[in-house]
Amino acid sequence: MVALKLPSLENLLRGKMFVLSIGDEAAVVTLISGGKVANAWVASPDPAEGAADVLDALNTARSVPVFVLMDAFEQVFREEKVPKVNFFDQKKVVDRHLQMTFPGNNLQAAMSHGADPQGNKFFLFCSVPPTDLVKGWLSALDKAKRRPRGVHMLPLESLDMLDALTPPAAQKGVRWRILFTFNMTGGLRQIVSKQGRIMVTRLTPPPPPDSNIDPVQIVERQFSETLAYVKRMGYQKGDNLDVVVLAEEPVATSIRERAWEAHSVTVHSPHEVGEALGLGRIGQPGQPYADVVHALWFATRKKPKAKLAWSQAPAVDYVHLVARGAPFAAAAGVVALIAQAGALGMTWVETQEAIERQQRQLQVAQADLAREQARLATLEFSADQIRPLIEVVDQLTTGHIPPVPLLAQLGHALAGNAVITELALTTPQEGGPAAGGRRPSRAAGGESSMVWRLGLTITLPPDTVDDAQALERAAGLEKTLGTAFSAQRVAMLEPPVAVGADQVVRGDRVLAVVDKAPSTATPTGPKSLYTVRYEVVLEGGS
Amino acid sequence: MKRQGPGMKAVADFLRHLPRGSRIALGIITMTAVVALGALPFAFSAVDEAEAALRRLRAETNQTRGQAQQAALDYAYVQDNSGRYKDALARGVLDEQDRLAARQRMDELMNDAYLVRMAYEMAAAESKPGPGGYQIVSTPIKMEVASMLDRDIFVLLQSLETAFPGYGVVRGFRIARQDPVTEDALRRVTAGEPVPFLTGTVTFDWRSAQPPAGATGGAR
Repeated sequence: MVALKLPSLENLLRGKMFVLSIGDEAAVVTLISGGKVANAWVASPDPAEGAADVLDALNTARSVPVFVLMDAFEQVFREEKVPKVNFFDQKKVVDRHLQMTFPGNNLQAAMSHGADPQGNKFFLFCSVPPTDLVKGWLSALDKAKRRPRGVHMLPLESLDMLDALTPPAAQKGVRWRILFTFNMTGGLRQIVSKQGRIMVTRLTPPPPPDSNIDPVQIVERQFSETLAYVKRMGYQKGDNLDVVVLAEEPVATSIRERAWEAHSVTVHSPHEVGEALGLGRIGQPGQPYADVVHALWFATRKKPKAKLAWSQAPAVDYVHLVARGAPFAAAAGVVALIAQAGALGMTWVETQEAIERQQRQLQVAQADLAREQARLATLEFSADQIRPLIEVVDQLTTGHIPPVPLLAQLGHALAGNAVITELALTTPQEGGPAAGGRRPSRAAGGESSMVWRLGLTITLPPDTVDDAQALERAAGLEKTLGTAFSAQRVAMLEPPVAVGADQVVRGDRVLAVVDKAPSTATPTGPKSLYTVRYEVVLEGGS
Repeated sequence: MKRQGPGMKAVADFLRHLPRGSRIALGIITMTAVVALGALPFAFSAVDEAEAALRRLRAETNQTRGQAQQAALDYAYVQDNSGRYKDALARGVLDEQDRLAARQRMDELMNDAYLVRMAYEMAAAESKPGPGGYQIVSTPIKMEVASMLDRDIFVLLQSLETAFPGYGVVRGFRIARQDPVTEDALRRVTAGEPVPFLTGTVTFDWRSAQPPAGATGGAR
């Protein structure tokens, strides 16, 4: 029964990417598509020679992004402790430590390696020096407008492959793992991990093509050297040690047959190792190199472990910058110039139209002014000439009350029904003792707003026979005055008979002769005349 | 042939390394800059001048409209007030207050109104600044009068308004009936004796103005 393995949905969605593996022995371009190796190209490691081939390969799919895997010498890893700082300063402190660890302008990155109980954090600092190889390849990609999306270190990115390929630990304790792969890019690549953390990476150049050195011997010798090396790093006899080798037959069989100072030795061919890794078969059967395995492993991870960046900003490539920016700048400049010219033209045209409209309005206004000035010229006086004196006259006549019309109005109201015995006109301007008379109590409240006050003392006609008639006539007179002075306030200040609640009533009666009728006269007697006092007040605002 | 300096050579090398499209783009940028620097200042200047001319025109139009409106208002004002102006001048509002003439005028008023008695007190004139630099001159006058008929006092009150140069402004008066009209009083009247049946007080201001120095009244 054949198991049908389909690429995962995640790999299908990831799409295509080029992985350019760069080493001292070769450059390998691997095109990954849908989680599978779609194609691979090999080129010279020298950028001057191999760049053209690599760019030809990359240009087979111009829109596919490029990632670089560094498999060259001189890759440095160092675990460093960084003091505990707050979250916002963390990156700054790490960058500073990274710069101190690897002075100069390197490709470098920092990867978190956990923390101790005191809160101090550990970081794995990685660095690739700016060798001609590195600079040459990155510059070539830049010039070809295929700047890589990321530059990564092959040993670090393939570290997890060890976990996937080693069997479960034989015993408890510290676990060491070693991965051997034959790469076209660099030769025999070794990745050593302790407890899943990278400890050592080694690279052994391949033997010359015409030599007869057995690859198994190379692996053995390098294993011995690596073992001696890791012993200095704390490896002790009894620690778990697992070895994984990617090698093609017959080397694989020979390795399996040898005795290794390790708890387990796992050997896969590069073609079949994908089955163990869940990636399916990789490349062509019989091919001894594992470059595409590393590339596919890297391409199928969710995210890289570390992305290298220059510690100092690279020198600005002005040619590249100008070449890219000039067309946009030219287009923007032309558009801006046209827009500005158009806006100015529109403004100028609108302004000219507004000027024409304004000139017509000015002509109308000037005609109006000429007409008004002509009318003014016909007058005997000018306004400026008479205005000051008119204002003076207004001030001179302020408070003047023509007395004759007032008296005529009063005489018309009384019409001979009564005789005025006292008449007093008072104005606020008069004041002083000259005002004379008593201040009317009812007008006291509105005294300040009074314009003028006319006080009247009136004697009722002599045929007024009794108090009731006197009161009736006094009321009638008040009504008549009220009608005549409808715009003023008219009030009876003192009635003819003291019947008001605030007046004093006096009496002096004598018994009369029997045959004579009793007199109903008031205390003033039948011979006395009744007098009434009124006031007419004009108040301000009335 | 003129030799290129090192700066020019660097520029030439730089341009040589650029793609053809980029060189064309740089040429367009240069032309755009030349056009912008050469023409835009003139265009901005022309627009600025046009806008300044428009602003001046607007200001001139508004000013002319304001003058026309003011002229219309002045016309209406003069028509409404020229009569008052003439009347004020005819009243002698700008004449100096002549107290000697005023005393004579008081005697005339008494005679004209057939008053039995007239006493008066002309206080010192008060002067205060008025509109347009004019000085307002006001003389308070208080009179005590006695007459046989109320009509005589009314005639006096009416005469006071125009009795003196300027304006007479009545501030108040008081008239009271005195002795009743008896046969004895009538007999005295018949005999030619002036009997004061009525007495009263009148308070009024004699007001006029002094023009500011150098000002003259009169027609246009």
